Amino acid sequence: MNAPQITKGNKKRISLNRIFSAAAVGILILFLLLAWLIYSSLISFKVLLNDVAEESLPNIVISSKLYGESSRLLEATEQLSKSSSEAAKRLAEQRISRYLSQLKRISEQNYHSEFLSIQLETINLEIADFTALIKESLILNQQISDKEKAIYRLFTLSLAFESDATNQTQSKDNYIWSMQLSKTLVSVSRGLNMNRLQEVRGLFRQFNNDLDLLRNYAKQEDNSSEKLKLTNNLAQLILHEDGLLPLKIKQLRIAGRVIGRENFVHNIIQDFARLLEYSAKETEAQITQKMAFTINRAETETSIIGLALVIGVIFLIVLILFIQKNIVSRLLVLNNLVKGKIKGEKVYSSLTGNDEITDLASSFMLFSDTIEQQNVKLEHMSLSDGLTNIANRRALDVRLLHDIELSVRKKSHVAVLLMDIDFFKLYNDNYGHAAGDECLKKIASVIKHSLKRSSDFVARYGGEEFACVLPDTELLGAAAIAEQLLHSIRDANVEHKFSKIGDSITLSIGVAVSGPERVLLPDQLLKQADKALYLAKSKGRNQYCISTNE
Amino acid sequence: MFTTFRWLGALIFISVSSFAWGSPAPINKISLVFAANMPEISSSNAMSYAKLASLLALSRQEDEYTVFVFGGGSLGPSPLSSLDRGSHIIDILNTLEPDMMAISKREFSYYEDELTLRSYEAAFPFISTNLFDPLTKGNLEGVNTNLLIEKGGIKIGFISILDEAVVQEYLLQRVKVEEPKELINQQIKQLKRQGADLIVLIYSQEKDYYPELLAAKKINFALRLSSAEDLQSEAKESLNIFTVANKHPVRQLSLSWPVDSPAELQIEDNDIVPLSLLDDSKMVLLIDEYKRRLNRLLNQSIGQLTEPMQTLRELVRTQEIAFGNFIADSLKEATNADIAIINSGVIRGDKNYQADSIITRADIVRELPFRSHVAVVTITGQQLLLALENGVSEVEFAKGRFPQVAGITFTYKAKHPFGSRIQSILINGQVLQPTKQYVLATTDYLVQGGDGYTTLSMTQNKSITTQDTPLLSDIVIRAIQTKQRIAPKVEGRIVRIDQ
Repeated sequence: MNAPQITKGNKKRISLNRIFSAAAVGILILFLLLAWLIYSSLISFKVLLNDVAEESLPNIVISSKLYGESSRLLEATEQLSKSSSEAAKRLAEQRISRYLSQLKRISEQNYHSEFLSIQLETINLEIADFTALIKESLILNQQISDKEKAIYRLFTLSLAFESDATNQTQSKDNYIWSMQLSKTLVSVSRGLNMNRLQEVRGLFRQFNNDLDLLRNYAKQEDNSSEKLKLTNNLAQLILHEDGLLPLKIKQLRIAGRVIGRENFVHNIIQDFARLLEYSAKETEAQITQKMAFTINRAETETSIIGLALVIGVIFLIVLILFIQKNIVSRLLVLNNLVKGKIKGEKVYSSLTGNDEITDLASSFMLFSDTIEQQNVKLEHMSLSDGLTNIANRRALDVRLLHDIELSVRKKSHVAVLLMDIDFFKLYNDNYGHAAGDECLKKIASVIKHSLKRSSDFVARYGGEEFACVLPDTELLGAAAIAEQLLHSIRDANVEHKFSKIGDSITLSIGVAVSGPERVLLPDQLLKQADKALYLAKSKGRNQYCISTNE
Repeated sequence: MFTTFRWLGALIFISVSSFAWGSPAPINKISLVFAANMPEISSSNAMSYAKLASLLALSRQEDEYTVFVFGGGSLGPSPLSSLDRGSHIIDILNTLEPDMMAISKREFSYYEDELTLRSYEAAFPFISTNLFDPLTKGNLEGVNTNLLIEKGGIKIGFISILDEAVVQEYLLQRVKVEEPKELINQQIKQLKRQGADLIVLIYSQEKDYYPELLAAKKINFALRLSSAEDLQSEAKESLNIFTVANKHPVRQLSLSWPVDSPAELQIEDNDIVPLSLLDDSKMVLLIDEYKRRLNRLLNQSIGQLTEPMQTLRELVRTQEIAFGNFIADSLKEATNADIAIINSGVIRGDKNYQADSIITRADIVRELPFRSHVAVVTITGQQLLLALENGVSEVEFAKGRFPQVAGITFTYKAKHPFGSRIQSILINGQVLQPTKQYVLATTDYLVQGGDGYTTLSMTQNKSITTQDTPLLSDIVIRAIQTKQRIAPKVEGRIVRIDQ
C-alpha cells in the first residue's frame, strides 16, 4: 500500500495565491510609481517653463527697458543742467517728465514695491527742485547780462565826454578819469570771468579803491558833476544789493550747486536703476535656483524611473523563473505522478514545498490510496485470486465447509491436499518478484490441469501455498492424486537453479482426509494437512505425507 | 597840490589795515580761521557749519581780510556724500567763501575724478603740494600745487601736504603722493620769489623734519589735521602748530607782526566757545534744505531691530559684532558664496541702537557710507589664512582692517607677532584646508588690496552678472527689507584666546 509521497514536512507555507497577489500588487505599485514620477517630472518642467516664460524673461526685458529709460533720464538731466535758455530748459523738462512717467509705469506694472515707488517719487521731487535751481540760474545769468549791458551803456555815455574833450583840446588831465574808468571796467570784466570767490572779492575790493580814485579825478576834471554821477551810477550798478558783485557771487555759488545737484540727481537715478536691477536679478536668481532644483529633481527621478524599470524587469524575470520552477515543473511532476498511478506503478513523488500544488498532490495521493484500499477490500470480497485466476482462500473456506457438510450427509470422505512450492523465497530473491508471480501462475495452472474430476477444487491458500479439496476421495485416492501432482510439476520443469534439491520447481504436499469414521471441521482438516505438509518438508521436500490421525 | 592829495589818499588807504602810524613799531594784524574734518552737516559736535558761518561773519566784521583756510577732511564719508560725493560740502563752502581748501585723505573717498569734478563746483581753489597725476604730468586736474594770497597788506604762501598713506588706504589707482621734503623746500623758494611774506604748512601726518623747518622759520606756522577725536593729547602748539581734530574742527588765530618784518609774527590762539556762537540763519536754511532732501530720500523704514545693537568704532574694529555678522551673512547669502569677509572700516555708524528700533535707509547709509561694491572671488585656504592674519594684525590699534565674517569661525592671539596670530580656522564647521578653493564674497575695496588685504588682490575674480554691481549697502538694505525683523547676534565667530 502506497503512503502519500508529498513531503510537506515542517516547511513554512508559501501560498501561491499570496505570491500571485503580492506580485500583482508589486507590479501595480511599480507601474503607479513610474506613472507618478513621469507625471510629476512633466508637471514641474511645465511650472518651470511657465516661470521662465512669465517671470524671468519679462524681468530681463524689463530690467533692460528700465536701464534704457534710466539712461535716457540721465541724458535729459544733463541736458537740463546745460540748458542756457528757457526754451532749452522747457524741452529738457518735457523729456524728463516723459521718461519719469514711463519709468513709473514700468516699475508700477512689474514691481509692486512701496519702497521703489517712494524712491521714484523722491527722484521726481529732486528733479523738480533741480529744475527750479536751473531756472534760478537762468534768471541770474539774465540779470548779470542785463547789468553788463547797463555798464556798457554807461561806458558809451562816458565816451561822449571824451569826444567833447578832443574837440576842445583840453589838458590831458581831463583824460585821467576816462582812463581810470576804462581800467576799472576792464578789471570788472575780468572779475565777471573769474570763478574763485575770494579772487572776485579781492577784485571788487580793488573796485572800491578805483571808485575813490574815479570820484577824485571826476572832481578835478571838466563835466565834474556828470562824471561824478556816472561814477555813482557805476558804484550802484556793481555794489548795490542787486548789483553785479552780489549777483556774480551768487552765480558762482549756484553754478557749483548746479553741478553738484546734477551729480546728486544722477546718482540717485543710478541708485534707483541699480535697485530695480537688483530686484530683477533676485527674481532671476530665484528662477535659476528653481530651475536648478527642478533639473536636479528630474535627474533623480530619471534615475529612479530607470532603477524602477530595471527592478521591474528583474522582478518579472524572477517571477517567470519562479513560475517555471515552482509551478510548471511541479505540475509536470504531478502529471507524471498521476500517469504513474494510472499505470498502477509504484510512484515516489519528488514534490516538495507547501502550497496549492502540494495540496493538489496530497489530495491526489489520498484519493489513489483510498482507491487502492477499496481494491483490496473488493479483492477480499471476491472469490478468485487476482494473480493466478484460481479460487482464493475465501472460496476454499466456503467450498471446504460445503464439501465436508455434504460428505457428512453422504457418509463419504473429503480429502485436502495442502501444497507449498519448495525454496520459493530463493526463487523470488534471485529471479525477482515479477518472475515469482509468473512462476505462481504457471504452478497454479499445472495444478489445475492435473485434477481430472470437475468436482475437484483448487485454490491459492496464501503466498506460495495452494490447497486442493477432493470430495468423495479416500486416503489412497488422495495419495494417488498427490503423487500425480508431483509428477505433473516435474514434467512442467519450471527452472529453479537455486533450489537446494534440484534444477526445477518442486512441491511438498500434506494430505489429510475427513471421513465418516472421523469427521473433521474445515479448520481441523486444514491443520492436519498443514502438519502433513510440515512432515513432507522435514522429510526432504518434493514428496507428500499423509496425516496420521492421532 | 593834487599830487599831495593823492599821496595822502594813498597813505590813508594803506593805513586802513594798519594801526598806529609813525610810532616806532607799527603792527599789522590779520585773522585766520582754520576748519577741517567736518563731513557731517548735522553733526552732533558742538561745532557745526551754522556756527562756523557765524564765527566767520563775526571775524570778517572785525577784520574784512580774515583768511579762511578749510583744511579738508570733509567731502566724505557721510550719508549725503554717499549720494552726491561731497557736492553739498562744496555748496556750503561756497557760501562760507574759504580762501582755499586743502586736500586731505577723505577728499579721495570717491576717488580722483570725483575730486576734480568738485573743484569745478568750488568757487575757491583746492591745493595739494605733493600730489602727482601721470595723466596731466602735474597736479591732479583742478588742484593747485600752492597758493599765494595777498590780504591786508601781506602775502601768505600756503603749502598743503597730503598723507602718502592715502594711496593705500583709499586705493588710488592713478595719482601718486610724493614724499614731500624736497617739494616743501622747492615750494618755499618759489613762494618767496613770488613775494610771500609768510609760509604756512597744512598737513596731517607728522614728519621728523617739520620741527626743523618751523624752528628755522622757513615755515612760519603749521595747520594740522588730526584723526584723533579730540585735542587732549596734542602738545605741539609751542612750535606754532595748530591742530584740529574730529571733535574740535575749528581754530581761530590772530596773526600780528611789525609792518616791515613779518618774520616776527606773533600768533594769538583765540578760544572758541561754540556755545556762545549763534547759528547763522542763512546757513541753517541751507543745511535744513539739505537735511530735508536727505530725509526725503533716506528716512524710509526698511525693517525693525529686535535686539539692541552697537556699532561703536572701538568695538567694531576690535571684535566680532552683531551688525558685522549681519552684513557678512547678507553678503554671503546674496552671492551664494561659501564665506564672506568685510573690513570693519566700512562700518561707520558709531551708534547705539535700542531693541525694537526702526531701521531706516538712512541708518544703513550712515553705517555704510562708502560706495563699496560687492565682489566675489575664489580663494585658497592658504590665502584665506593670510587674509585673516592681516585682518587681526593691527587689532591693538583698532584699525579698519579688522574683519567681520560669515561662514568662518576663527581664534587668534593678539599678543603673538603679526603673521602667527591666527590659531584655528573653521569653514562652515570644517577645518580649513590650505589647498582647497573657497568662494569668498567681499567688497571691491578689499579685492583691490585695500586695508592691507594684498592677498585678496591675488585671487581670481568671479564676474557678477548684473550690469551694475550692487553696493554692499544695497544688499544689506535688501536683506533687511526681506526679513523685516532682524536680530543680529554675536556667536563666537571671532574669538581672541589670550585675554
